[in-house]
Amino acid sequence: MNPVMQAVTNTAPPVVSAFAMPSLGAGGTRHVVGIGEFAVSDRPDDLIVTHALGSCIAVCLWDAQAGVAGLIHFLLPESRINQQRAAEQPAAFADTGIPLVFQAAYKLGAAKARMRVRLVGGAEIAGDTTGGGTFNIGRRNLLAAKNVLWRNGVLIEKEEVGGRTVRTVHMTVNDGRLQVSTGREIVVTL
Amino acid sequence: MSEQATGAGSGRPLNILIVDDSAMMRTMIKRVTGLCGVPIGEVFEAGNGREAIAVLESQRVDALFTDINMPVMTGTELLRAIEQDGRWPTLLRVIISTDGSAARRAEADELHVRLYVEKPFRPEVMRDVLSELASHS
Amino acid sequence: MSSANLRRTPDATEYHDSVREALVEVAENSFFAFVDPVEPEAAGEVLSMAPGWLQATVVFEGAFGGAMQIALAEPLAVELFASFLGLDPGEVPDDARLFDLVGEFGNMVCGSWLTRNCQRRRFDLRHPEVVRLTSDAPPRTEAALLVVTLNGQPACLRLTFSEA
Repeated sequence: MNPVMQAVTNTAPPVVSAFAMPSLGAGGTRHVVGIGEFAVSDRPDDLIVTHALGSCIAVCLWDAQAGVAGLIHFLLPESRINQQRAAEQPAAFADTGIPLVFQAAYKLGAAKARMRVRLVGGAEIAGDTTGGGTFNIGRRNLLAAKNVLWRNGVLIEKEEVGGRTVRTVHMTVNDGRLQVSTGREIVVTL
Repeated sequence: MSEQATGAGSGRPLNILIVDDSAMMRTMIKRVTGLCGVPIGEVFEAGNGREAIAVLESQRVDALFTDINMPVMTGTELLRAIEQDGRWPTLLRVIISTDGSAARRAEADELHVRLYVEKPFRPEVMRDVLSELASHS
Repeated sequence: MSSANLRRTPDATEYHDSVREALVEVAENSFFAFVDPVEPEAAGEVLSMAPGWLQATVVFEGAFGGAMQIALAEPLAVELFASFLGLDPGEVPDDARLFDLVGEFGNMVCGSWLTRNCQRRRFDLRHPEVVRLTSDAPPRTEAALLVVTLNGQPACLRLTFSEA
């Protein structure tokens, strides 16, 4: 028996009843997207995950017909404030990063007109320095994401944004479902 | 007299008339009609109520989006004229205005306005309005 | 005391916060722009940075009457034009379209503010009038109710009331 499971059973109710995260399908890959990174997949058993969404924004894409999902985790609104970094890590910024995840999804057969787009993050976190100390960076990131999406003719389906908590996103590729959690609690399923 | 708008039939694309004295606002709304995923037919524009009536008389329009404060003929005057005229009973009516006062909303209710959208609005709000109208067609 | 004695011309400074809220609502929802405050002592310097201005005047009538004037640095106006319509930032409109956009910006801020402050009473807005101000005649800070930046570029707002 798995010693970790045994310990949990002895001391607390089973984790699974309080926190049932989407599971990886057989043979699936768990893509963990870090800050300033993105991932796409067309494999139904895959899972795309990102953590530490404080003031950062995750733009989550899903084309049901093509079976393609994508997620970018960016931390700053505009590349013009640091062009050198934008050249090295374009996915760190809304304006250079969001088009990249879309283009990657198109290469797997996704189409803009079918894309369902959801936003998560953009919180105001005390002591969050990912934005270089800029005030209200979460809100600025959210506005930047919306601006980029509108400019590219994409409307947003749902949002789980703002507030003051750090979020985690699990996205299942087979159905495009997002589970957004804070700590051990699932906040919302989009 | 043109063929009357019978209200959009099931699955038939909606013909829209956008009435606002700001050409840029009309352009923005028109852009959303192309992105919203709702079957849209023709999109007509007018800069005031009088121009809007000319369009209604010559084109089949299923849904009217109108501002309130406009020169020549206001949105309220337009809606009253449509109501009194009686030729467009099934026309879906939407107000899009900065004026969200209780007085205006009460006025809108009397004029059988289906939806009242306050400016400023995000593009997604306009998408939701169009989806709502399409579901009633 | 008669009711006539209780009527007074409103003081614009009482509406600083509600005007700011209306401006933020419009800037964020329709233009995806972030509004930053400008400290009064820095206002003159911030306003002097703009190469030129576009100013919209919106006259309102209703429970009370007056005018709202919003001046946008011209590069800001061009940027907001692109954001509003979802165009590439480099696209520069002709004056007719740019003035229309600035007028609509003013219309929305004024209308949004009036809705917040006149919830049950109707008001009427006149069609906005837009003019271009040159850099040697920028908006006057002493007359301004609000000086802010939108996406880092200056904007200035003035509110006046008609005599009661």
